[in-house]
Amino acid sequence: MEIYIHLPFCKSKCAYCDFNSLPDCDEGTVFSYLSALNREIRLAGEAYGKAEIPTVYIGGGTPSLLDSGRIKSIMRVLREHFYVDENAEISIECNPESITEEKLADYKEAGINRISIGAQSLDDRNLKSIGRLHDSKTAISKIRLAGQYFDSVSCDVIVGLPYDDEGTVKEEIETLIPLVTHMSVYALTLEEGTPLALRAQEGKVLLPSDDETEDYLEIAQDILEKRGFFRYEVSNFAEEGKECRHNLGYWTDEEYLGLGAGAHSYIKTSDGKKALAAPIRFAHPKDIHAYIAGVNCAEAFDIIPRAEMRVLDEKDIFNESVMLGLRTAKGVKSDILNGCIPNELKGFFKEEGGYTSLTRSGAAVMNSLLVRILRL
Amino acid sequence: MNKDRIRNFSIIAHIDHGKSTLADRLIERTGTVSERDMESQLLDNMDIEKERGITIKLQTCRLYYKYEGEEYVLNLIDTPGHVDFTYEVSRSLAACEGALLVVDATQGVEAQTLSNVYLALENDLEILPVINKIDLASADVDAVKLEIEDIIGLDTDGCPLVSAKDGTGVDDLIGQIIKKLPSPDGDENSPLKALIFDSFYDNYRGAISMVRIVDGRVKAGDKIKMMSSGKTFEVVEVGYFSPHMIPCKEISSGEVGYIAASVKNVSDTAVGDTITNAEFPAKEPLSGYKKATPMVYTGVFPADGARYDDLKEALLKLQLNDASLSFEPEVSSALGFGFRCGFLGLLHMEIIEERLEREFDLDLITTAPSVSYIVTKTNGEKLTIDNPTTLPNVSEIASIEEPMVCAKLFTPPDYVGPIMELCQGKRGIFVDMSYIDPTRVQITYRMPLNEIIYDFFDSLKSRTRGYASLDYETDGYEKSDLVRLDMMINGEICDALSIIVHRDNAYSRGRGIAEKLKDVIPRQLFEVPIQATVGGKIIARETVKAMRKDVLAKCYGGDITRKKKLLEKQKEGKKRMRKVGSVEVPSEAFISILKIDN
Repeated sequence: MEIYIHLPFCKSKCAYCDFNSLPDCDEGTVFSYLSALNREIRLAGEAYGKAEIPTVYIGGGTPSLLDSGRIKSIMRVLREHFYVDENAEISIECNPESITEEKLADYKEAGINRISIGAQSLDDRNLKSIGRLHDSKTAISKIRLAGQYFDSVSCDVIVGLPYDDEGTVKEEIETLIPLVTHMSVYALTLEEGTPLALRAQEGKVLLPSDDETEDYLEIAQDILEKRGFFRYEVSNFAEEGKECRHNLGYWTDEEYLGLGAGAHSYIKTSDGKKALAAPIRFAHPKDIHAYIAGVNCAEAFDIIPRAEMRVLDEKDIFNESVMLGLRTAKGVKSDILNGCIPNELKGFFKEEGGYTSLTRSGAAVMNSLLVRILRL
Repeated sequence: MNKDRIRNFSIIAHIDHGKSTLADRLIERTGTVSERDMESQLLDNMDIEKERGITIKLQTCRLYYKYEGEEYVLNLIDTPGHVDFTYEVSRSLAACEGALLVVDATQGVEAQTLSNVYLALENDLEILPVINKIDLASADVDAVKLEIEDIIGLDTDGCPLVSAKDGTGVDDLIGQIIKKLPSPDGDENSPLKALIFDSFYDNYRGAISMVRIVDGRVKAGDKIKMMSSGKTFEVVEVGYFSPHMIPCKEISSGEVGYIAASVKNVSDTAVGDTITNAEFPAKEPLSGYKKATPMVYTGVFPADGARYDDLKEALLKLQLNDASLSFEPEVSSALGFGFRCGFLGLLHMEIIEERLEREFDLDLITTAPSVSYIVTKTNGEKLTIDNPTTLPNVSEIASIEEPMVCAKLFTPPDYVGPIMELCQGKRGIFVDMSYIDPTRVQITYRMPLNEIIYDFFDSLKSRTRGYASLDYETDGYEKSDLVRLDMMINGEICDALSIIVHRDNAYSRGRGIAEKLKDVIPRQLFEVPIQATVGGKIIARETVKAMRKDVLAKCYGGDITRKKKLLEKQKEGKKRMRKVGSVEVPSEAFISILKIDN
């Protein structure tokens, strides 16, 4: 059972972000949240303590914003209540501006062995327009610094930003490759209601077209693949052996427990060992205060309020295995897809060793393909 | 009732010349409706009528008025004013002895007014000119009077000058109606002869006939016979409109009213038929009307295929009160099951579509309007074709004839040039042009109806800033070099987009439609060629490029539900698409081709 821990705090909200994060939280709220989180870890441990934990992912928000002593404490509590595998992959998300040598040393001491850094762009105009708090120089120096402490360093890059062109994308990918072992490359998604989406609607910011963005993605992919980074998932590239096992688990039917406000869980057992009749998905309340109150009132993990609770039926299981499996390079077992792919779409798929996966052009239009294949 | 005290009349007017307002004023002045219940445009019942300020269905209203010590009954039979509804006008005129010709003092005589005046004259009606809107600063009563005398040849000496808006002159008008319009003839002691001039369906009383009693009398309990079918019914109720249905003991010669006789089908109360008494029948029926023939046809499909039955139900309901609407089932490979509907004209079509959408909450997709062509095949067989998809193969066609119209356009002289250019471009043949007075010109063109139903009205309006008016009547058929223009989407002909056009226009229309389709069809997983073809020959081509990017990048902390929801939403959007082969075409595509300006 994988464990995800959500730390929703950010210094400020980025212009494209519609995720569950809280800018500029007061110390009291942070304290209440962390103590509720501690309590939840304990309750979860009582419920699923038998499970072995192969991966832990501390995401946000900006986990690196917190004092690193608090991260150490979270990890200590987690180990008290769960059996965290000796070789577990333990990741933490960081933003360049909040990384310090002291924090990196503390993370290492806490057993964290993988750092994921939100670089997003190496063009300062881009960084400014999307509301990031760092500049490109800081990004590069902090990624370098992380590399001195950790063997596994990843960075996130968004393409399709206002000042992107073929040249800038090429340059930033080439600059970052020697500094990291893993890279996530996403196309910018304009989420409804975000400041960036509003500015784009009003014509105050001019974004590259879908075609241009796809061109940039392909440029990035080409360079990464040439330099030994394997595209093991739609948006993720890694040197051999440096894939993010935690993320891969999401696509390959691994059981995972999400702790913290708004965190999502996918549970297949009653206690970490014994299989449930049907897998379930649920999430905690997004609102941080609702979460805190819910956890503090609960005497057992099961009683913590759940949103979007769903027991998966046969159709859900099929849909999920296809939509998630097709994100990976390996793909989906071909017999699952038997007869589901219309003839005119076959060119977007390839088959190898009993698995069906998407071609490069197929991966680019995955949603349109899924809509045709899934039983929605 | 004493026939000398009855006046049956209708009001003829161009749209906007104030017919419905004048009717309101008459109803108000005669005390028919109390001030409290007065709402404007009383006789226009439908929301569409009130909003658009037009009359679609004819209505009647009985008014009582005391004049020089005697009580008079005035039956106002309201008529539609638009060219599409000439048929309804002729029906109501047949129930009257007189007509008020209402002319706007600021606008003068319009094309449509003229044709309705001719209709009234054909029916031997006494016409009383009425000049309206005299309260407006731009009113020019003398000029309008002169125009009426010159164009129509009516005496305007002492004719009523009114303002329907503020009520000026309405009493004088009522006096003149009584003095100048004749009272009805007929014999109440002869066997019953009642002309059905309209019928409608009432949910509780069945099909109700609106009648003008020519001879005899009728009351509840009478056995009546429809003279065309011989079917008999027992009268449940008779009455009149004032303006709502008011039952009375009997209606007799000279009167206008309604007969309810538990008739289940509106087809049994055919407009133009004569009702007589089953026990004492009349020998001869009254001369009826000819049946209205549809001029414009279009395919009407539910946007949601599952609502086919609802559409059918809605059309049946509308047809109950609108005998001129015709429809039959049609199947399109692109649009599924729907109906081929026949309309009197474009406005009629628009109104029916709007009522279907509004009153029955339907989303519709309609195909390009078509007219009725006569096709002679090489083997001599003659076919009537109102649907482009049923046009035979080119090799089997010896000739095609298309319906022509004689179009009369009234315009200020400034717009003569633009109008002639427009008509010429629409394959019009110039017939005649004359100056009615120094400010108004009448231009006559012979034109294919096919060109008028396309975007003629809109073009006319925009080229003349709304100053020109148009009227047309059918003028036979003529051989023409017509071809079917097909649109191929990804190599497959989309039947719902086919149109019949003149060979000379095929190229520009084909190119226009292809460009439009390219804009409205979203990018698909494949490149989609759009081709316009005539007889297998490609005359225009556009390409919808293949979609390159459609992927959800990030998955925050294992939130799968969010991804699934997005896909479900995307799928929902696809359901509103129509499939042409493997290509998804949005409903707007079918509608947008109707709006291409040449």
